[in-house]
Amino acid sequence: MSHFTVNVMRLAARYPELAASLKAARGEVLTIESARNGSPSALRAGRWIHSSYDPLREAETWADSQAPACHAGEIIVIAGIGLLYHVEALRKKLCPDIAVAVLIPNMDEFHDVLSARLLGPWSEHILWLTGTPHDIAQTLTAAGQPLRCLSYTPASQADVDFHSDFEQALRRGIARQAGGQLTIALVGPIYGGSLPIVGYVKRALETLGHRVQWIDHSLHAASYEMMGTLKDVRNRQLMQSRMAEVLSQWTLATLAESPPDLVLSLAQAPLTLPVLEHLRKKKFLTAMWFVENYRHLTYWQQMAPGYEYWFVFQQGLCLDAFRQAGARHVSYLPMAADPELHRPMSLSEEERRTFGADVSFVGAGYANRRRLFPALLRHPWSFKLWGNEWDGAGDLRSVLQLNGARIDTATCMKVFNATCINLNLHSSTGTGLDPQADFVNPRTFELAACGAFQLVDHRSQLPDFFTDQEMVSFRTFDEVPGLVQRWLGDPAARQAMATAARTRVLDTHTYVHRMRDLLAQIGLSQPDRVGALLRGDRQQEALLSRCTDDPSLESLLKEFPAGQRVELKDVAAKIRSKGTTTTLKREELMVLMLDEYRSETRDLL
Amino acid sequence: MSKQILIINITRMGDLVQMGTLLQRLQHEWPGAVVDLVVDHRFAPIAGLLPHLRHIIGYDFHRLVDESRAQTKDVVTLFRDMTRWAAPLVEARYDRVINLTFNRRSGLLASYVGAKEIRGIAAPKDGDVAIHNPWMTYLTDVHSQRQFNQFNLVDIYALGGSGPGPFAPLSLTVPPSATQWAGEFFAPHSGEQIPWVAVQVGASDAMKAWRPELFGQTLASLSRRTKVGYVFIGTKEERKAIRIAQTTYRQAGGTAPLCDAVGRTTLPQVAAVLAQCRLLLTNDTGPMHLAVGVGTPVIDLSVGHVDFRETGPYGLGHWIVQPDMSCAPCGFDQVCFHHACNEQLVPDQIAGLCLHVLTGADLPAVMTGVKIYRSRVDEDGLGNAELCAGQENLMTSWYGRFWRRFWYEQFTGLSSQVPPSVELPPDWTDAVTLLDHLTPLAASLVSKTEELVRLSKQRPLPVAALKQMQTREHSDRQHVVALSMQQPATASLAVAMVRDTHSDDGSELIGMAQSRLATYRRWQRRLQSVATQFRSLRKPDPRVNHGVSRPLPMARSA
Repeated sequence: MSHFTVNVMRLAARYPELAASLKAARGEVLTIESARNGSPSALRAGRWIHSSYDPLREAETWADSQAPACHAGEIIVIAGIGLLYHVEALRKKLCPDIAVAVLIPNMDEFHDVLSARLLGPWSEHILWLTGTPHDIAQTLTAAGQPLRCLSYTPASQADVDFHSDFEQALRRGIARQAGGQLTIALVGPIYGGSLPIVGYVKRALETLGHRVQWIDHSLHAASYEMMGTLKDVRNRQLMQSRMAEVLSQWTLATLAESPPDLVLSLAQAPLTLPVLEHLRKKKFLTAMWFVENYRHLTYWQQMAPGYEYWFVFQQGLCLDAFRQAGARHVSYLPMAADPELHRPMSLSEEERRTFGADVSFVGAGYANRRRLFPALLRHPWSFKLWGNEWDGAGDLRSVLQLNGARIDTATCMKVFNATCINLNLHSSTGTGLDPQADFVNPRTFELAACGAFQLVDHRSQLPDFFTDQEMVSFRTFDEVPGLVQRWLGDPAARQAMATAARTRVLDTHTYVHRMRDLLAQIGLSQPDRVGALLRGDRQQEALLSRCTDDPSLESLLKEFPAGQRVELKDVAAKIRSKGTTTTLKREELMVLMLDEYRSETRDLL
Repeated sequence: MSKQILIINITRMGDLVQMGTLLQRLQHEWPGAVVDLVVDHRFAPIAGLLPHLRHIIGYDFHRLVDESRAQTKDVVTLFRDMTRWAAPLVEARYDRVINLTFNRRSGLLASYVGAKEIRGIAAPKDGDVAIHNPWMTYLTDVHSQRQFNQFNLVDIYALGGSGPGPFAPLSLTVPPSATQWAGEFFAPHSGEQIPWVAVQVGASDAMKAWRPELFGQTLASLSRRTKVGYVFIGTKEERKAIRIAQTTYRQAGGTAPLCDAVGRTTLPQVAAVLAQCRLLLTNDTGPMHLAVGVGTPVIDLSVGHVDFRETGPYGLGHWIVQPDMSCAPCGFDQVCFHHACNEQLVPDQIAGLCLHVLTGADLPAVMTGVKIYRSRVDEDGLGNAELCAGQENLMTSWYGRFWRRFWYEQFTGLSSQVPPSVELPPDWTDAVTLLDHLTPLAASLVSKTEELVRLSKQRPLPVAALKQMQTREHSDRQHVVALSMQQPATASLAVAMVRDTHSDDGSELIGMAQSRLATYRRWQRRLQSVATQFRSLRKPDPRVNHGVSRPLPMARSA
């Protein structure tokens, strides 16, 4: 009997449908060749997916590096089939109460694998995952067990879309299930575009039931700005960098007061690399949502190894660049809107007159806007320009509002709501449209959430968020006057388009959605920590169920209500609250001792 | 059956070496006793060099801090991990737990493990902390009258953990593999036949480190006077300071060969390197105690907040350099902004002292800005130090000796063989006046507390009268403590009395009142004893100016 026949017979006992599919598969995806050590190895599309020298040893090394992170009770999901050497090696290293599952994106490839090697009894202890990424993700999340995803990159690369879809579906599935409460320290910038986003993120996290502590560095903006008045560039930079260092230490001191489950920074947060490395050494979990164009703001290159998790709103090359710079985990997380703030408004006639126009733009005077916007003058429709940094744009002086003052969010919302056609032109330092038009800016989502109609320059990611029935985009600026003319003349169509865009944002593009995704991604990577918190594993009833054999601990936990997250500090506080007249039990002494260690802060600063 | 003892000594390398005498004293007290040790896993290798230990039970307490603080583990896991680890300790049913780690968390551990007797910090019924054993209490409060302390930590550990006994030097056993490593380390220089001087430039706390440039200048100066070689020891973290010392050494014209063991050694290997050196020039650090343990003479540069009387090198044949400044050593938790004491130590003079230790050359004729002490063993068999150069403050030296004898006799019940001072204390008149004033106040406080005991026994409880008496007792206590803290003749007694009130262990009203009464009676007896000793001294000549007394800081409120 051939390897294939024996392997399929072995599989058929537990997976009859999979066995049938395999019999129907054609194979011919892999090219099987002998490695130097005589074992079969393989190529896919001309690329080796296992070592051409010693695939067994390679698999052992991979399994050695992965096994320590795997914990009892978890399901380990492996992306990348290869010839299953790595799966076999890992399965043999792990204890039986850790499940191992393998994603099968391609039945023909699996057919080739089963033809090339005779699988041993270990293969009977593997969960084979077939179907669409969404179905597999649903099955796994329904199991309710902690999941840990591993990737065997040489083999998984060929099915990158499948794995990406799977990961996204899994993230969403876990996010939907999340019920536990986290404490999150939110570290904002001193100033800049990411500052308002901190507020949106805070609200979103609180909406999800998490406790948020905002370490607000904008309080120090005046001092930072004052340093900016120093004429000597070197002195100015020196002082500002020293201040950033102090604020970094300040962040550390604040974190020491009440250590969170997660430190989440927004772009430009003043946390230095040494402080981040210290936090990592002290087992604090850090993440950064880099809500800036990675091509323009490049300090992430130095900071990449500092954060445990990076989230960026650009894909493809951006993700690769971060990884190459040393980022451990980098994930895609697009921008969004905050419907509490970005919403339709009832404006008075006076407000409509003040803030309204046929066409408006709100934003800073980047080079491309200065160059393109004069073409919007001398038309029969009105045009208003709002925002700062327009000094020297003489042509546009007649339409610039409030003398080019910075516009606050409340005013911005009124402009969005009062304007017939909001222009949304992504910034660029060039003279035309952004030549690398990938990400979608926050304004796109904010305008949509307001139910405001917009014309946006086309972005490669735009179709991922909005359909043609929800958003109008232009590919050259020359199209803009014609589009304005057309849509000004059809208010009903504008309204329909804007309403559809708003519905889309509320359904899928709010900061609540993004934060749910962000936490799910971290939870997926850390099933025993953030993942456990999100699953509610630290709630009273879950903890109780784990200590039925320990009456002393059980009695301590029973003093808390079901549904409450209970940590060491809570149990210790409960014991202390009994006052000094009670004789402590042995287990209470133990809890108090552990809590004394927990309270240590001197090593942090 | 052999007695079983558990020692908890978690936090510092030096403290581990310094309990060597205790380990020997326990064998003297209970021959054949088995002793286990709880220690941070980083220092377990040092513990392995100590004698008479059965089990060295290491634990990664730093990881525990990190994991519990960042909540990487839930309360069930933390609790289970720790109880599992501690289970053998509980099951051992120790006869005595000696807690040498003076913090609350170790006290909770000591009480969790439990024993027939706990010495040191423990957690009583309510989770607060209490200190058992007068020597351990003394150690806790020593900072409040630090300038008068003449007990080395080594002796306090031995007396508190066990009791009085014959002098036993610190002793470490270096494993053969480490000795071999050290031999290979020195092998490239084996032809040079030079005495090696080990140099420890770094310190765990920047406050207690002499400036590295001054180390460099000292070594350069010594290299010009005698044939010598230097071995730098220390951790990788200390590398920066060591580089500065080495650079300065070269710039100052240092000619002797330099060896570098920095960051390349295990702790046993450091001990082995030190064992092959003729001298260690060092700040007050863990390696200093290692050198003492392997019998290598030490010159301890006692700067910053280091008090050599408390933590200096123990036993015979070591040297201490103490800056002669009114603020030296600094207060216990003080942060110094000037570090002026660093400059008091003159490199050429320190080099001269090194030369004296290495070759027997005369001590430098002029030693400025410092006091030089030589370590010794005193008449009671305790570690001490005698002044060889410089001058001591009269008050400090008189009261240092007085309290040294007094507390030794109080705590051990033995008569001290250290001769008492024949001189009068400079503040004799003020002291006797205060003692006379305090004597009736002590009697009154005892009387009120006797009434408190009587009232607490009445049924029904006379609540109002009891409250009134408690208020008066509290007020009287505050008064006598405030008065006592003004004079060195009475301050130590007041601190001990206040500490005793913190350790009252009665659980019921009567028990608490009786415990308080015992505390006041003890204080009264001690006060009487001090008063008797002072009155027995010759009345001073009123024409001699004995200086102005100054109040002492109170450690904590009554």
